[in-house]
Amino acid sequence: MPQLKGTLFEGYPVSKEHYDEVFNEKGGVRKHYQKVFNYFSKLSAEEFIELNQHAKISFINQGVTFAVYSENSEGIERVFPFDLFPRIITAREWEKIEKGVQQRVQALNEFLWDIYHDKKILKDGVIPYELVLGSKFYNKEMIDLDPAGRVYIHISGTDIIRHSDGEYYVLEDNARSPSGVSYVLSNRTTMKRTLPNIFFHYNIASIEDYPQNLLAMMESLAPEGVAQPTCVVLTPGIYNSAYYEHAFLAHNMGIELVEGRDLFVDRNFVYMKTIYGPKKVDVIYRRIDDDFLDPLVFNPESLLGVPGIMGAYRAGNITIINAPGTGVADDKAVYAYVPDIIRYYLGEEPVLKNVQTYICEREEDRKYVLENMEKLVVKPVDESGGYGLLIGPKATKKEISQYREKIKKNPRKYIAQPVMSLSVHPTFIEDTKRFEPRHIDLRTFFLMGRGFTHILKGGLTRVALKRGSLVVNSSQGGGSKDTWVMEG
Amino acid sequence: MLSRIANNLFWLGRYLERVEDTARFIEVQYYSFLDAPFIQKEEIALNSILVMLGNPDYYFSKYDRLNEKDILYTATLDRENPVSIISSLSFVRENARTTRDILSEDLWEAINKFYLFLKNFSRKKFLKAPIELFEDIIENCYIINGIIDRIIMKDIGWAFIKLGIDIERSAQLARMILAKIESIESMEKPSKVAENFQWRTLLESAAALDINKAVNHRATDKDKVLELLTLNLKSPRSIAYNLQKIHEYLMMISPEKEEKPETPEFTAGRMASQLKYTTVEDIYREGEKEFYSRLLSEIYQLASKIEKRYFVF
Repeated sequence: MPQLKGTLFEGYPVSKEHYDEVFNEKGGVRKHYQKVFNYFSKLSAEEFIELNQHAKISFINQGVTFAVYSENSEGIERVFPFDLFPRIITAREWEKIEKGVQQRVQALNEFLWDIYHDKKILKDGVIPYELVLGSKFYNKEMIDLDPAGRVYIHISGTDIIRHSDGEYYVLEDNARSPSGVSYVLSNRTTMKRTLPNIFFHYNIASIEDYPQNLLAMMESLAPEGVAQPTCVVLTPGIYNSAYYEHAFLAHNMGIELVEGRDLFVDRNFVYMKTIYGPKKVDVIYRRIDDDFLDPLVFNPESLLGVPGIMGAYRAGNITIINAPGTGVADDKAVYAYVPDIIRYYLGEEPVLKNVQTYICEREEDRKYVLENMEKLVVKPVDESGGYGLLIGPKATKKEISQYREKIKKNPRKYIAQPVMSLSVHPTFIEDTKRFEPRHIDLRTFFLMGRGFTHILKGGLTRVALKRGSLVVNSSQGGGSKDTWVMEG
Repeated sequence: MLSRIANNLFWLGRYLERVEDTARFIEVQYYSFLDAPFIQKEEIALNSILVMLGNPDYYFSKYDRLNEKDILYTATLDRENPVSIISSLSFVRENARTTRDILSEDLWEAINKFYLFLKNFSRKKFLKAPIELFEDIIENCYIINGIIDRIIMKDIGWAFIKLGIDIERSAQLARMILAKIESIESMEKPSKVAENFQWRTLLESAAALDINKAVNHRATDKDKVLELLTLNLKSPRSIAYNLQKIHEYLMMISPEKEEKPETPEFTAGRMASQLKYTTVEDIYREGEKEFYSRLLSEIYQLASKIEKRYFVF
């Protein structure tokens, strides 16, 4: 490829097995990337490294750090790796993603209402009873409880990848307080500070209004009769690794960031302790897990939660965001049924594809999985963050045989999928001082309130920084990119 | 404002002031006694540092005799000593951490930088030139106080920090005066020169030596020093001045904006007014030790009244 010679792209291998977001199979630059590509190909390695340094300082100044805690509870604050080459999504592609995400979340929300009320989908035999009622996340406290506006999944973070066939696939529906949106907003701020001129060449969707939309969504779900609701963000506290995000969101919405000990329940109403006495709270965006929410109902050891909050919730005096019990909707075994769930409730064909999924609890599937493990990715149904999975083609014989025993022992806990080939994107690698292909995915952010929906036009593009690695999670050495959605 | 946050801000202020006062006290005690006009001076200096810090028990659990280096280290960099400067500073930082988004990123950064600087300071380097570290500590406190006074919005959160600072300063002033009275009492027949020397070091520990020059023209006899550090309404290093400020901040915070009996603002207003109409003769009449002990306990009672009113549920 003559156009790459003498640039930061020299020697860039255009992949045959993976979809490259920037280059087509012939090595040409895709049209919507042309201007950004031109810009970067004019830079020397030194210039680029200097820009990188600017970006890092911008993150540190914004305080965008995550804490790694060691003994004597003293945090070491780190900056997330950030890549300056933005990921660009065309308007046409985005339209499909947006439609697909909205469709999935709406269907899953209907599904949650149904399984906590009439259980029609189970009675009709679309999904086996055991699969839903046996899920670790099926929350009996939610049975027959009517959440405000019938909304369960207020904030969702659908993870999407692009396979080698060029199509988008949904990898996960994160229906329990997905994190990462603060990085999306900070990435954009950093890009604007570091490379302001690139923005002149593109008409990209703005994302800055996300916190306002988040607040509008919360306010739309105020308990009945409350005209001006008091909304708060509930955090486990400063030692939580996502504390920065909790503080960021509260700060940008202009609402209080509270801890469990700041709240109390009296006669089924929730109050926060302020210097002028108790103040009633109406909507809580909680960033603590279901288990810790209310020690009277769930984990009695929990010091993070609010004793009695589930009683107030049941009485309709407080809205909890996301609703407890939404974990069933992103259980990885239920995932296999999402296309059926969409057809069942909405009578539509799914817009976004699902990855072929083998449910180890089904005898037929289990047999296939046990015989073909070296070709499959096996995942526990109830874990997130990339923990506990087995990537067949990269595992040793011993690892595979050990994992096989685990599946046999507890088949409900596992599903398997073919290895998806995540698309690649040029990413600057400091060691080699040039761009190299790295695997990426996309986390979207979708909000749903009472008569209110909003999708963040962009998202968190996560990058697996290790060569050949498919694990993009930030807790496991992933980085991120600014994500641009083109307008019109 | 959440009670927890207000509480954090209040204690941020208290510990910050404690860091500065402790550093200045140790520095002044230790260095001025090097050329003091009387014998046994080292022992007196070391003892007064130990007493001011308020935990000789901790010291003697680790060391069996008064030793210059061990005392300086214990008072300054010993993290196991809960009242050392580094411990106070780590409490400043913990309290600031939860409030960094509400206040200002500058304040958090200055505190964090200061903390990391002190944390990484080695015992060896410190003992080679202790005075330098004390001056660095005081300077860092000035920077942070500058940010508090010039960067942060002067709202209720700010008032809680200032409240903490001034409560702490009033209490520290009362304690220092009390400790000095006791220290002079313990001297066998002190000469006038030796006694005035003691009052002079008190002025220095209270960062009021320059103010004294302006007000009292170098005279450092007991009457003048007590009046300046207790009753002067223009000196930020006097108890009366600080109580007036405390009253001001409490009026900013109070939702009723009127002083009802039993409220902290009522109590602070009464204490400030009483001091305003007190003379040195009144102090002597009551007895110096009695007067300052009473004042100190009233300040502590005021602090706990504030806590009960705003922080405790």
